Amino acid sequence: MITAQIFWQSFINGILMGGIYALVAVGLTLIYGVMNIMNFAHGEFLMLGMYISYWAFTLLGIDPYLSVVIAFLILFLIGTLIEKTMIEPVLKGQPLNQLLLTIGISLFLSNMAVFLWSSDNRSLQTTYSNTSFNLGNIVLHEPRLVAFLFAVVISIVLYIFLQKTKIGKGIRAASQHKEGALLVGIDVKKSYMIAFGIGVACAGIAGVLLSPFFYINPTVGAAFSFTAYVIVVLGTMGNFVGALIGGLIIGIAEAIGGIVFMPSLKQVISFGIFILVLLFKPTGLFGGQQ
Amino acid sequence: MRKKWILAVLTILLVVVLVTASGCGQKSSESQDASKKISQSQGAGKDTNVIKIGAIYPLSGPTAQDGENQRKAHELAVEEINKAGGIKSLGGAKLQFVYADSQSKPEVGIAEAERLINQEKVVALMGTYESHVAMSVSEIAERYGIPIIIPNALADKLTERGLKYTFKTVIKTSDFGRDTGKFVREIGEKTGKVAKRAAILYGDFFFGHEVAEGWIKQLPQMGFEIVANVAYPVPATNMQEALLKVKQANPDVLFVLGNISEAVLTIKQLKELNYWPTYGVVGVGGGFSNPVFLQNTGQLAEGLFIANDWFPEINRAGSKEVNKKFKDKYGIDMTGNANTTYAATWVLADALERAGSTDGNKLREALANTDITSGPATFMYDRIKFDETGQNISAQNVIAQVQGGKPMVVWPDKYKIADPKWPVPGWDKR
Amino acid sequence: MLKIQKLEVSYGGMVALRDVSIQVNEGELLAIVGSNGAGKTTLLNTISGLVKPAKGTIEFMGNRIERLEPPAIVRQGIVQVPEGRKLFPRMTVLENLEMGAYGPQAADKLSETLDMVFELFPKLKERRKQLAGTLSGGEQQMVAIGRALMSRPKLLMLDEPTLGLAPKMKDLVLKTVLNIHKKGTTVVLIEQNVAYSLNICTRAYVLENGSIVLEGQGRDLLGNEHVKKAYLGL
Ligand SMILES: Nc1ncnc2c1ncn2[C@@H]1O[C@H](COP(=O)(O)OP(=O)(O)O)[C@@H](O)[C@H]1O
Ligand SMILES: [Mg+2]
Repeated sequence: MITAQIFWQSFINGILMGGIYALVAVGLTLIYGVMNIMNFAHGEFLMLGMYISYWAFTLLGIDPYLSVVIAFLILFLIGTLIEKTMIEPVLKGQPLNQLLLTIGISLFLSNMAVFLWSSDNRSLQTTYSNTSFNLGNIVLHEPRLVAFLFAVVISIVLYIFLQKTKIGKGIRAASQHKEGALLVGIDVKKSYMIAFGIGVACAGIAGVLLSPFFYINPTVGAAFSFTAYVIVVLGTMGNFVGALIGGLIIGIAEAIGGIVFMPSLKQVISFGIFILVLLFKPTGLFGGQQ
Repeated sequence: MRKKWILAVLTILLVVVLVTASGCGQKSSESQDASKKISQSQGAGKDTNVIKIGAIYPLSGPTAQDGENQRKAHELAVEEINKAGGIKSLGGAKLQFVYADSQSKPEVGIAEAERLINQEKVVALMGTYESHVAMSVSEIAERYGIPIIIPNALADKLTERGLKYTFKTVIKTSDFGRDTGKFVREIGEKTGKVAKRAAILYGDFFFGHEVAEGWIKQLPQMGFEIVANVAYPVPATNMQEALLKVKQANPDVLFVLGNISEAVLTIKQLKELNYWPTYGVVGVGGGFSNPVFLQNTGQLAEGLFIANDWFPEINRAGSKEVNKKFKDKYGIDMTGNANTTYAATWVLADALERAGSTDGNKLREALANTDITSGPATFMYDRIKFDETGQNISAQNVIAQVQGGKPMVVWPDKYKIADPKWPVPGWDKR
Repeated sequence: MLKIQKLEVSYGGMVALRDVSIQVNEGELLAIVGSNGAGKTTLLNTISGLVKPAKGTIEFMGNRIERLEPPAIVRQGIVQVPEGRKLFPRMTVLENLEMGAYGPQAADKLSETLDMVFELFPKLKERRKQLAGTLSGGEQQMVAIGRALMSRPKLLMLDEPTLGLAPKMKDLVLKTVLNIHKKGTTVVLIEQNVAYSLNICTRAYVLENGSIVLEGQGRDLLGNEHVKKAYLGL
């Protein structure tokens, strides 16, 4: 029997983790929705975010929460550069080529990280890395709470950006009808660059937010990509709000499933949800709307 | 159309990830350095005064770094053996190791073993770090009547197949269960704080289940009740569910196996959840004994017990010196089985000396009669003697406790360098 | 205003336009007539920069534009109401119209132009908060025309704007096009109803299998034997 305390602790853990998942997935779904490609290098941008936070803190003493801005800028730049030089040329080509390209980028980035920073695990020890407080008999780990709040706020800011700003609207228009967008004078190539840059920067920010309490190594992204793909499909590929809600659903499902069954079955639970969605609602929970 | 396409690929990819996650995950975080290529020694075949030994390791792929460490250990021992006059009974013949890359694949291991035996004319094999490769390579050694010494692959099965030419100096996987249980029982009796309720926590991959099996078999025999048996996914993005499952069972002691990433997360998230078992936590596996673990966890690891067959801070003759030599030469501590590999190279030299021959049969005979109680190899083992299965009888784990940021050996008594602190207080009382 | 010379366009190996030379004069309402697959859409898309020509030149108000990207061509003042409308289905009517004024000059006059479009299509004002994908075909066509007008075009090209509409709606759309032309915008019109478009146009080209076969005043073409047989069913 699971006690109420353990249950609610898991539930809270699930929501907090779900927020981070959501931020990763929001970036991925944005890229898919706009450019119609699945970015298999997404987890590696999360990894880069972690290293940016790590080095900024270790070498320059910059607090990870300030690194959110630094990581956003750096990863946005790297993302747009990669989009311009590598992804744009294959956008008109076969889906298989695009797949191979993003997988190639992911291998390149993780091997580059090994080359530059070795494969050793690293951890960032901030003064608040281990602080927590009690809410009733539930322990709330502060960096996770902060990460969750950041993730939610950043997702909302991004949502507003897409809904209200001119560039954001241009990106949405390009995602809804590429030729239509070209014909009204939207620079679709630039929209793609920006969308890809923002998308991978979201993953990078998630990495920064994880860095105070997670481990950092060149392959850390893989575990998060897996979950992010599931969430993107669950929340309807390309659907922003769907990715947010999907992130929370998977976070909670993993946390509760992990204690009810076995933690090792967590991925099976995610995968089970993935299969069920494919079987009964291939367009995802929010298929048909955006 | 296109969406379906991507979904199909995604599905396949996810299946592949799921199927391989456990297998590949286990070492992925420890070493990814595939770029280092070992220059394999070759030629010199005409020199009759050279004895060639074949050594098979993963020299490319995710465990290449570990393979490389084994190679370093062999080279250090070979340098010393040759400097000390080589194999005197064979006219001062020099040892020469010929390295081959298994790529972590049994079939490649087999092909390389045959190449080493047939083309390189090696007189013995050593290796292979990974048990699944060792299983196959030892069969080849048996078929050709060439002895193989396994100093760094742990699977119990390696010596349970009735092979005559297989000798294993390193501990068995199940020894983790035996030794961690023994330690907790002994310290309980000594202090009166007897841990009865045990939780076991391990990764959902082959080695994880093997270690768990050791606990499940042996802990109840030593008076423990296993109140939680929890497997976590590898690689793990979160250990919280697993730790909450442990907490729910309220154990006295937690036995946990982990690769580096999971080991780090376990300790960090025990703290995050503000949870600590009544008496303490015993960590097992490469993750906890990797020096990187302590760099990652810092203060949080204080008081943690770690089981391994050797630590730099151990009260055993020759240990400090050997570690220093290794560190001077390579810049890192001699952990991760490099120590057992180094020791086993001396065991081979001893057997060659006594055999006075490189004939496979005679060398096997000499190895079977090994009984070493002094010399360089004893920095690892008091005595090296193989039972009828080829397993080194005195191979065992020692237990260290992190004290002042260093793993200090605290058990067994004869090797201890510090006194164990038991029970280990919870987070609030530190 | 627009001068196309010896234009050749092909898709892969298939030639869609061959040696096409046409001219659009300022203030004209030019009709392009041709059966299905003749290459009318290809011609407009080439002018808009969506399709790049293999040979030939396109000159607009003295500038060569055949190598420019679509957004740059929009900025020059050439806009098309594309076949199939190509709206942004999950954006509101208002957002669709705003997107039409994406270019910097048009953005400055946004609210003014918007009033003008709403005056032209009062229905759109009512529906401005509704998602474009949920509108009826006729309303969607209004949005498409409105969106094109939002950029304040010098040359407006319409590709079968009445396709699939109810008769009443067809009339309304075509009347609006005439209206726009009267107010001074140069218009290129592709319209299924050949008799009608030849009646209202100032000049017309007949396109067959990717080549221009006839050119002339609308009225003259109406009397042409070939046109009568092939397009007017007489
Ligand atoms: N994107 C395309 N790819 C290949 N062929 C095309 C494409 N678009 C049009 N075509 C071909 O080019 C020819 C002209 O088509 P189009 O310009 O659409 O004619 P129209 O608009 O006059 O009906 C047709 O044979 C059509 O099949
Ligand atoms: Mg057409």
